[in-house]
Amino acid sequence: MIDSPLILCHVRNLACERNQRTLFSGLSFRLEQGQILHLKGPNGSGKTTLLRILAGLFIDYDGQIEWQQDHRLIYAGHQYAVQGQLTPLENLSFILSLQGIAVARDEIYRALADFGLEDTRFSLCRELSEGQRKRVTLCRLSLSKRPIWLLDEPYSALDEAGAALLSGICEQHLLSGGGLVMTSHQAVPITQPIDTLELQPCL
Amino acid sequence: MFINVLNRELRIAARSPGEWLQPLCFLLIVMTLFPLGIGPSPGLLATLAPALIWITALMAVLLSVDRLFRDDFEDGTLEQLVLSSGPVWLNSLAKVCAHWLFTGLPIVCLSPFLCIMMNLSSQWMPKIALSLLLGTPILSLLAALGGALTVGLRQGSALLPVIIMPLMIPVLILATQAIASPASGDAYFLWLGALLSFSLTFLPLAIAASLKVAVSR
Repeated sequence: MIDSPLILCHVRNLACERNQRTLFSGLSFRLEQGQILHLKGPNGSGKTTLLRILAGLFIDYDGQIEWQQDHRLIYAGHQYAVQGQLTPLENLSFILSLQGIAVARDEIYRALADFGLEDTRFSLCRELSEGQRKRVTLCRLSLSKRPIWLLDEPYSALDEAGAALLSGICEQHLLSGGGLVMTSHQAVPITQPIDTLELQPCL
Repeated sequence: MFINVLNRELRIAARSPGEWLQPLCFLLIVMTLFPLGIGPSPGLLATLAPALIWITALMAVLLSVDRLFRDDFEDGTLEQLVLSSGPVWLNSLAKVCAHWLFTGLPIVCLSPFLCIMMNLSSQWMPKIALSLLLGTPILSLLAALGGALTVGLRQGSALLPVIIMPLMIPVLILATQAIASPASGDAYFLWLGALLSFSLTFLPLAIAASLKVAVSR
């Protein structure tokens, strides 16, 4: 564990309204190094919107979000950002290059092998199954060393082995001092203590 | 960054030839039909040819642009592009360049062939090719702006021509004038070049801003 965790992100009094409906208001929380924050709430309660606000993709909100030190983040949304006409290798090296990271081909191959995609590394992603494409996204998480991960329903479409792999890289990420915010309808099988943030539907 | 995006786009385009061949087939088919419809009067055909070539090229570019950002929007790549550490306008410019390489450049290369089909004498060929070489990048940039503005909308593809067509009219006028006017054609080519450098400077910024709006819904 980290001895004195730094605060990565401090959110104060966050409120968001969409389509004349208040999703949440007066939301305050902190994200520290090594902390995992599990967003819970019924469908339509604003979990994805909250993640997108944190990612900087949605700017129509009230309140303050203070990022400490380096706030380079990864956002993995419902859409996998996996192009069907490219191989997993090409997809990964492109997405990583967008983040300004150059990863050697061998390292990507090793990551693909770790995630059980060894046999499919030369096939186009449109030939892969939903779960396999999700695994390509997981490779991206493990390869790009960024302190903050924002994951939207990361466990969906994954089989048991895939879920175990995901939990594994999340645990590693937390141990190395990263912060993690995720939404999930399932219980999160991660060994570290999980902080829950419940979003209640506002009336 | 620019090279990476360009590389990716070219790879995708090379693997889906149908998408970029479709506008070119459209161009060839329409240009085949014109002489048949107008009749075999060489004088009339030669008068109309520059405008016909240009209007068809414009339509071909419009036809090809709907997919430019739509796939990336649907699979989430656009979000990653906006979140990327590099400038979004540079990435957008790379996408537009790839689009031009697979749409505008083939049209430029086909233009001597189109001239023969329209029974134009060979002295017209360089002028028409030059006007297309200067004009089609502007069309690609404008079309990309339309694509970026409408990518988040459900009925976007219906709206796109309406938004973009008026902006393309100056290009069309300058290009056809440049070809048609025998003496002072050079001035029009200079205007076309000026328009190209203007669009190349400012439109990527507008495209980037539109993309940011599109993903922040």
